[in-house]
Amino acid sequence: MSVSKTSPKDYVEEDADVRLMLLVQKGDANAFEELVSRYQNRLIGVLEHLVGKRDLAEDLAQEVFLRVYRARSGYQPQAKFSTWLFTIANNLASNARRSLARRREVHIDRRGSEGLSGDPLEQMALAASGLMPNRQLDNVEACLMVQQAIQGLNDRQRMAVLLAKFEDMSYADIAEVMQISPKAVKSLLSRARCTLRETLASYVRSGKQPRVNL
Amino acid sequence: MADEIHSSNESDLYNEQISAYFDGEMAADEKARFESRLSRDKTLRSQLRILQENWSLLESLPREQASSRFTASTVEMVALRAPSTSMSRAMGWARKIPGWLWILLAALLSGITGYTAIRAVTIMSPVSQFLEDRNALLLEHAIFLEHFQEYQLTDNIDFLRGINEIDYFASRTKVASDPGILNHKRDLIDDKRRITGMNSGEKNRLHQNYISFLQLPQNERARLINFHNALVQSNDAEILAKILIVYARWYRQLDPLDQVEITLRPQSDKTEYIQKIISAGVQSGRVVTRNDLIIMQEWLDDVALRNEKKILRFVEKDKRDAILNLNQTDKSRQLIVLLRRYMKRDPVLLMNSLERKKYQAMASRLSDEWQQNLARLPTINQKIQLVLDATRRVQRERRTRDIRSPFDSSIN
Repeated sequence: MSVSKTSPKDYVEEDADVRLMLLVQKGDANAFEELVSRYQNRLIGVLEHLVGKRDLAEDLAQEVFLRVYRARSGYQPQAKFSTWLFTIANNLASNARRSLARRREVHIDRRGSEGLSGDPLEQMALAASGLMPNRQLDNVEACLMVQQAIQGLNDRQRMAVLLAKFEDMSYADIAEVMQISPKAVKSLLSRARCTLRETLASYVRSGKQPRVNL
Repeated sequence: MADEIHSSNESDLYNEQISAYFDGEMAADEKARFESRLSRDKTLRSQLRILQENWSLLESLPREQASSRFTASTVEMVALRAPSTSMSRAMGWARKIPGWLWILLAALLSGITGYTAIRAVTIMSPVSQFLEDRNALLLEHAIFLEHFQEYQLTDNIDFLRGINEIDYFASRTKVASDPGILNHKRDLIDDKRRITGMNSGEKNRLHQNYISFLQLPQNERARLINFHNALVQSNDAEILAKILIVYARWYRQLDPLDQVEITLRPQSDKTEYIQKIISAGVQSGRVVTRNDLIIMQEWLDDVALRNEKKILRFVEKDKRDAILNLNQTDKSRQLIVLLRRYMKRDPVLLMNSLERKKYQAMASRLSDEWQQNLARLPTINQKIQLVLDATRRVQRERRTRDIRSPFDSSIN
């Protein structure tokens, strides 16, 4: 995660996705399809953590790609492509969360883990019943604990953590996505880690489910 | 109270430092100071370790997969909705028109609007534009793109000439067919006819090559283009074009480790190393004997069937049911294929003591050459790959022998 000053020309040279976007700008729809294919899973993953609903995350991801396509004519490579894409995603997710809050929708994260499906509570029940193989049980437990711990972070902390962990972004890039200063990112991440440490401490020590204020 | 605030600020600063160090976001001097403190302070080391542990726990979060139709449906959605920007802007003034006039206008223009909208979507949409763009690109770069993968495996013309001095390649070049690289001056109309006659798979492969080409750094792209141009203009272009194809075919059937080794070597000793691999292949008799193949195949069948439940746990229900309904031979073949795939995810699958004993027993029954090969290959997965490749080769040969032309059978 190093901070570096990069000129637009460098972004074209260094970032293959920027080059793809420039092809989209010239009207190459296949390049656009390639960009969708490259970013769809990453984008949906982050958005689902942010809005808590799989279908909404997919809709938002499509909206992000639509905005990317509509913005193609004025596109200038001023940042890495992923930074630009997640900036759009962050703005859309913020709007969606506001809109959800206005409708007073309260959600409980009901995602399944990889290779497993259904309600986490059912999975826990299954795990407790001893019908699940040990290794799978460990994975399910860890996954549920971490999901709940992530949900316990505030929206900004969660976004910073997801970008740092899964997008491997530098503080400067995260700052650009979230439109805050790198110093604020440093502080956000540090606090998020303290919260995660406290939430996960009981699980790491004793395997107990953490308490999370939803 | 002031003390508490002061202490809280200090604690925040302390945590921020640990966090920034972990993320590699410290300036050099700050990092040196931090590391010096880290070497002295046990508590600090412990906190850094906890942070690392918690951070790696996040790995257990599920990685989302978009639904299988997501890419296609997104492109279609964009094709339909993207042109609406200019349309929606234009609709601004329309709101000021009285309702009755709008209805009248709508009635008059409905036919034209419908026609125009369909034309706008079909002609301007990325989907149809994609087809036109693709054909145009393929026409312009077809020959280069057809052989792009081969160009990537080679360094330059001198390398090809060096390769051509190795008997193994030279003898094969003599009987190789014309790879078509030299048809750069062929008629554009012929090209067009050839490309429009391609099936979508062939076109997609070429376009995929084009996309891969664009992903390369500028200097690498320039190198490949220059290489192509130099090759087609050289005096011995015909031989070089053939050697390029023969070498690429040979390279692709190597062990991945050998491929990496060749790629990483400097050009000066690359040819020598290639020669060494060829000689080693001839001496150690990598061709699997029928007996060894049967032993290995039996062992694999055995392992796959004994691990049936473990392997099928990773498979979707429909597929699992289908596999369970197969006969024993087909089932073990499917299980071996799955075994290879899931061993990457769960490498300890075969590593219990029983499996190890069985493996040793199997290995001891194989011929010396085979045992040498087994020892040389570092992972069980690659050993299985070797057997599968050999099995495939035998089956292919058998198929070739078994295939009779319809004319033969009618004669018989």
